[in-house]
Amino acid sequence: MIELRSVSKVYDGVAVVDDVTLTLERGTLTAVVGTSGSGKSTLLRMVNRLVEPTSGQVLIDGAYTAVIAAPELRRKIGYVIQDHGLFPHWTAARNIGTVPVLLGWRRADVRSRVRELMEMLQLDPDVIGPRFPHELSGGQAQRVGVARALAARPELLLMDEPFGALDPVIRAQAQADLHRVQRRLGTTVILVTHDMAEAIRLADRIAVMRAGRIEQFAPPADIIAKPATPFVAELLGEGDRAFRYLSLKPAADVARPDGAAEGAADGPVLPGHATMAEALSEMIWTGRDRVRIANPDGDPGIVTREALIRAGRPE
Amino acid sequence: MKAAPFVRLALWTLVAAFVLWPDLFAPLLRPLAPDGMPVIYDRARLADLTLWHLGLVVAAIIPSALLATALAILVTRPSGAEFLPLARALGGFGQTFPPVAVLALAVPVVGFGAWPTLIALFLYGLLPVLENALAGLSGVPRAVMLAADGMGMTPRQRLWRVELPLAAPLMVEGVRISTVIAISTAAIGSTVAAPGLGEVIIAGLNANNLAFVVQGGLLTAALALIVHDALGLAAHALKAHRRVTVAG
Amino acid sequence: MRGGIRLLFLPLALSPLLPFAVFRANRIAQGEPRSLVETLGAGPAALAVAALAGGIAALAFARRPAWGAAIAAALILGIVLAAGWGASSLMAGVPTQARVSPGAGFWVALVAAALLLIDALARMRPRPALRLALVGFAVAAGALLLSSGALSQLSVMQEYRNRSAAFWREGASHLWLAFGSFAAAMLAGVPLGIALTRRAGARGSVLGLLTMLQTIPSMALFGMLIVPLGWLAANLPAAHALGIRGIGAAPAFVALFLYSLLPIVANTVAGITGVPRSVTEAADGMGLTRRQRLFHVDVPLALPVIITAARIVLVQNIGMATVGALIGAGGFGTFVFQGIGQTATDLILLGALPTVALASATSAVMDALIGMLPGGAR
Ligand SMILES: Nc1ncnc2c1ncn2[C@@H]1O[C@H](COP(=O)(O)OP(=O)(O)OP(=O)(O)O)[C@@H](O)[C@H]1O
Ligand SMILES: [Mg+2]
Repeated sequence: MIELRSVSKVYDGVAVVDDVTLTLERGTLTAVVGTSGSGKSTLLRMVNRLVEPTSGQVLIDGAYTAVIAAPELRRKIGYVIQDHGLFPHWTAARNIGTVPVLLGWRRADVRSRVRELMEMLQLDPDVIGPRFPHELSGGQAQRVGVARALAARPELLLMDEPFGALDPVIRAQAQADLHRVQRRLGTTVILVTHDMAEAIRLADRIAVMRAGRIEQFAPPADIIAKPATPFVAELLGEGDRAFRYLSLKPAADVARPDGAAEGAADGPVLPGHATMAEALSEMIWTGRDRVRIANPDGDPGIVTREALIRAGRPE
Repeated sequence: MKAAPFVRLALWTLVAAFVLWPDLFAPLLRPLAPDGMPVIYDRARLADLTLWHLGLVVAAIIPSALLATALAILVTRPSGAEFLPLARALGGFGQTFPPVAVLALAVPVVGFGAWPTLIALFLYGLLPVLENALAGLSGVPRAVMLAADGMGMTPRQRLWRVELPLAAPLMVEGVRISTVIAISTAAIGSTVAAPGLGEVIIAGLNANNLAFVVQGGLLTAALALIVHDALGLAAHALKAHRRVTVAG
Repeated sequence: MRGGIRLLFLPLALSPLLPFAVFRANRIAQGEPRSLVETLGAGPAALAVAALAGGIAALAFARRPAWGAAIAAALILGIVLAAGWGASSLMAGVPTQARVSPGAGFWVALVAAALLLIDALARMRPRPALRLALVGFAVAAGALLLSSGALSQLSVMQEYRNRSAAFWREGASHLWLAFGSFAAAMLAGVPLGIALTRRAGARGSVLGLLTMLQTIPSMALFGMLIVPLGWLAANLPAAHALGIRGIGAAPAFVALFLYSLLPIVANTVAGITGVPRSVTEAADGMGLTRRQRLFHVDVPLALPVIITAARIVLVQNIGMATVGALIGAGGFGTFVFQGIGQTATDLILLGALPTVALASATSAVMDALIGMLPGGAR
């Protein structure tokens, strides 16, 4: 559990982080979203003490971070940054092994850990391992950066716009990787991003920042349903709010059994985990007003357009 | 400049032969010597003078490069940041001082002989290394520094494992510049009685014996070219594994 | 001024404890140290120390770098004036062949004040126009100081008086050597650089050759050039008529010219090949001919890089021209080497100080010019 208690950072008389109090549960992914210069990176860096708070405390699992030597603290916390910050004079493998080496692991342990991580992130250890950063593609470098951050099995991972420099396809892949890795390892993640869609897709909770303050801290559905301030609403983008909301909920929630009264809906059967947004998209594209959706426990269910539209507006 | 291995070998062989058995080359130089004058410098052996020349350069440049590197490290730490603008300005400004002036002004302080030359080489050698080390150390990308801190490196670990290796090619380039200038200044050092190859050129100029001037000049030039080439190889080896240099 | 730079106050404050001047019965006699009190007299010495203390206090409280620079400059002026004044008072009533030169106290104070000035200037980060103005101001102040006679009893100035005609003559040949060879190298080097941007094949070998030339120690090149130029003079009446001789200005000029080529050619190539592709493509797309593109796009954009080479070359030439004196080319080096021969520090200074001043002023002016060019960020 990460607790920030009235944390502030003042530069030249300006509070770039202003009295922030947050509690992040273990094993969750929290996204910090906000406009440029709102203090997201500063907030993140106060967790691993790359920036020392002007006032307030940070606690990890109940322990004050301020009393732990900064290097020791940081070795237990993974850290990923936008330009990946890989060390240009070290191979990918050596980069990934940075923290284990600093911690004095045995050489064989470091080596096997590096292999394990590279395989987990779908990097071929024998091909990518001996390469230098300038010989990697953007996506590969980014994954090496993530592997490096995870090397010493940190329980907390800080990510500062980790996908900022990636093209949309690689980006989606990287997001999926993160989701998978985070669920599998149970790591607590704080993810700083500009991109509200990314936050909605990945986060358990979203903290919206503006001018150093937290405007709203809530699960994605609540953020979409009840933006606390006009700023949050604006950040969401008024236009496709409903669609965003639909993209969060499984279509199965509004499915009814495929009753005979409905008549047989033809066309393809959507997979069971399809979201309401996907169901609606399918209807629009194929010109129907109902689609079938797979049900692992029996016959496919049926989703109607009326049901989706009703569900698209929070009560 | 990378001389092809063959050219390099030929140059080395030729210089070694000239230094060890200069008389072999006497016929080539004879037309340049006035009648009745010696063709090959005879007041000291060319081999000894070459060693003296190199020795002076090495004795001055090693401490000079170490001190300059230490200074560059110092002023790029938070505790020494105060002196960074001064060090930068001095590094640039000091290089407008002609090496000859530094050499000449050392004479009144320490007298004639090898010392004024050593002092001039030492002082003048500081600047290119300082300038390049500063460029190298402050040119390490911000993201890399942030990552090093973020991984939990102590300041010392960051310096030794990240900053210095990344700045090394530029620093060696600085040493290379310093050394070439030092070889040149050491030659002029012969005007203040430092032992070295400059002595041969000066003797030739004084006695109007162009054979001396040419053999001294050729050897000094060859020495500079060889050292320049060798240090270039060293700098190249240091960055062979990465294309990206960190020049600011 | 704040922080560690204030460490420099210490040598400044302690400098009055060191001998301020050195007295010699004649030009090459053993020097006798003279304290500040002995040099200036008790009253003026006390005043000087008070002024120094005031200056240090003012520096300590100076908030803005500009103030710090002004105070440090004033200190330098005061220290130099005190030396001139002290020389006059020591020379009063002693035979004219006696010499007074600045002592350790003077040098320590001067260097400390100069470092404080450099630091303050570095922090000021003056705009190019202001930098030019500052150089002009410094040059004017120096000229005024020297011509006012306030320093006339210092030994360097006495050396100057004894050979003022030679001084200006050697100065002229120094300038001719340094700037003339630079101009020739620009005329040859820039077109060569432009040609090399079109012949990538020849580029490596030409630049390699120029690097080799640049690596050859100055004395070696100056000396060895005597041979071909002497041959020319002996066998080509036209060359002889042009004043080309084996010994003298010709080999020095040629050597400086050769040394100048590498920076100019290399930077011309780098400047032009560094023009962004998008720009050259846009120029081609708008239908500029090759020549038009060269003169309207490539060269203007490469100008800051080329002028940077000009700065490097000028500073290098001014310094290296001193070596020319060894082969009879004249220049300020003449005094330096004469001074070395006679162990006469003042004579060495007479050659070295103008060289250093010339090089520093040229470097500062060129830097400012580069800063004034559009796109010449520095
Ligand atoms: N070391 C520093 N000194 C002074 N000001 C700083 C410092 N670091 C950050 N700031 C200022 O604090 C504010 C917040 O910066 P921060 O990097 O936290 O913003 P951010 O939300 O991460 O922005 P972005 O999305 O652009 O990365 C900015 O106005 C920035 O200029
Ligand atoms: Mg940021």
